[in-house]
Amino acid sequence: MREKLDLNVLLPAGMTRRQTMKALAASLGMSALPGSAFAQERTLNYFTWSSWGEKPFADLAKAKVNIEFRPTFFSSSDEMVAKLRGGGTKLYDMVVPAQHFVALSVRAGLFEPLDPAKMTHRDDLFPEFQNDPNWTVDGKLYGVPFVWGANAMAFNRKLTGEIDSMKALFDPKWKGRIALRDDAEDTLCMGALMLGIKDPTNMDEKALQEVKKLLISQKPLLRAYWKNVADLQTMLASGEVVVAWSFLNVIDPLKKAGIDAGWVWPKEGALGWSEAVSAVKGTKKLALVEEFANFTLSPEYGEVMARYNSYAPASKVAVDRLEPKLAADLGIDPKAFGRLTFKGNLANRSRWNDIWNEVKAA
Amino acid sequence: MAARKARDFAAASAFLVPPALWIGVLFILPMATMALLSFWKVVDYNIVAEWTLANYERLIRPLYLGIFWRTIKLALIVTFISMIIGYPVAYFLARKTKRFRLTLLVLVILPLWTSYLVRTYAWMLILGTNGAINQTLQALGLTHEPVAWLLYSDFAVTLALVHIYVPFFILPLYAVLEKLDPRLLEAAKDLGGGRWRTFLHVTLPLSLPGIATGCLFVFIPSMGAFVTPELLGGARSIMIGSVVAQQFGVSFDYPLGSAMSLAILAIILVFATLFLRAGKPAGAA
Repeated sequence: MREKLDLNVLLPAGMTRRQTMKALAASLGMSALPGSAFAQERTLNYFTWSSWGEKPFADLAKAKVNIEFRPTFFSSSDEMVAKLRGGGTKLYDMVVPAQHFVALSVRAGLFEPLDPAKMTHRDDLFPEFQNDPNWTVDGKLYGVPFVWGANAMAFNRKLTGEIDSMKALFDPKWKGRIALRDDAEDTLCMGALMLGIKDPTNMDEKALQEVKKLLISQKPLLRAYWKNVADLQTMLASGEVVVAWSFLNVIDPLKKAGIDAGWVWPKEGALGWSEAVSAVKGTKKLALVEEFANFTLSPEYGEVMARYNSYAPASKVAVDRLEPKLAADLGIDPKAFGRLTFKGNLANRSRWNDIWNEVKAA
Repeated sequence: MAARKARDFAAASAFLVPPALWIGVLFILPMATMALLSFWKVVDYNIVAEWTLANYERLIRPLYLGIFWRTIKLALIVTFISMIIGYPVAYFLARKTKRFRLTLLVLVILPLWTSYLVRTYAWMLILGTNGAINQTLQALGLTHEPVAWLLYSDFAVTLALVHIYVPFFILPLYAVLEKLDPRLLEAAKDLGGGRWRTFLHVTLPLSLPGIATGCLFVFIPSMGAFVTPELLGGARSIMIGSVVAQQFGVSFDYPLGSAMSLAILAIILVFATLFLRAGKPAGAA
């Protein structure tokens, strides 16, 4: 090249080359992605359950720790792993697994360990969650639970009255108005609880066959299997369905819509879970993920969670901030832990999937 | 002479490169990947390149054979209903109207401008317990209880699939009927053929290729449908498309999913051959 390329001719007078390059870089960044280059540094791609991506959490994160997140949702733990494994590790910085998917995800090379020293709010938690063994694999920490709860039963109180037993899901009285979840693990475990099987995720083939038989016999009573909590919400709101095996987060929107929605851990048992923020393998923003994970343990986050979508914070300090009445309503007494069955990892997931497909195809 | 031939060959090759690349990268490569995957296996969320027939063995168990059979039946029913509805529409468009042809054609195509998902959800509003149909039935006093089988049933899936795919039957058939040589119809009339006779012996045989293409265009996507059965289907409405989606999106069993996809492809090829053979116009070589 004979002449040096002079960018300045293209630009307003008085701009130095460095400013020019900066402006160019910024404009490129802006056209490719929303937000300026600076905001990008405090933005996290968040692969999570729909509950944790809602506006109150986004607002709080922005206000308290100046972190923005871009959420993408999954609707089952299986889906989470399958999508991370199928290339999602390149898309997301952090993810919210359930306790029994942690070891499995770590072995599949999907998570990055967290620095325990950064989890300064850990001491605020109920003791059960401070050192939950599910979240430590080979001596490394992969998350500290910020929330816990159970998959249990939702019902339309006006139509069904009070319900305290899983028998309602098998009651011909509600024929054609019952919904179960389209999820091998969750629904087979639910069937196991109904049959009084103590450790559902370790069922042998014989027990699995019994559960299959039970669920097939229940099918004539069934309206549909729901895949997505929003679909179940529609079914409950429209009266298509009056009782269902469900997530807790259907309840609040229904109540806001004026429906007397009830929620119960049936006496046969409910399926417990805890969730935490984990870092996705290879994220370039590990420190920021740790900051965000710690923020989810803060009393402020816990309080918003309890008030906004009725989930139980793992933070004792957060629970202490709530009125006793609200705390009682949420059933967020860790003493109730004993009534929950926490799922473990399945030894033979593909067998469970086949059995579940047999139920659905029957 | 030889040099010129070589140059022609080079030029032709150059023109062939883009389409070859297109087909190679977007069609053959994915297919080959799938074929390869279908002989591998998954261990702890890792695809292991170890040759096995286990996926095909799983496929031919009663469970999945049953789902395949259900899916084929449903796809054939959807195709048949689309034909019954689509033929008169295409015939009317091509032969009976001049003035409104364009308007009517646009009306046939119009639903395709709305997202597939939106159309599926719309059926939920129409067919639900509190949906438009049930409310009308109850208001007219025809039923006292809402009709439950309208939604979350095979009926709902069939109805929505017909609604979504019927334009794909109408359009190719319309193209064939529109080009039908009017002299043949006049000849049939001259020779004393009535309306029905002319239709049965002239129009229908000549439109067979259009029917065959239309059937293919409806059958193929119906075989692979998974969103509609998942949203509108009831507890028994599982279709093979959902099971394939489950292998990739939920179970992380790419090998089994690939084997299933190839099986769907094989089924489609068999039916495509049948449709096209049946659709050969009488007397054609």
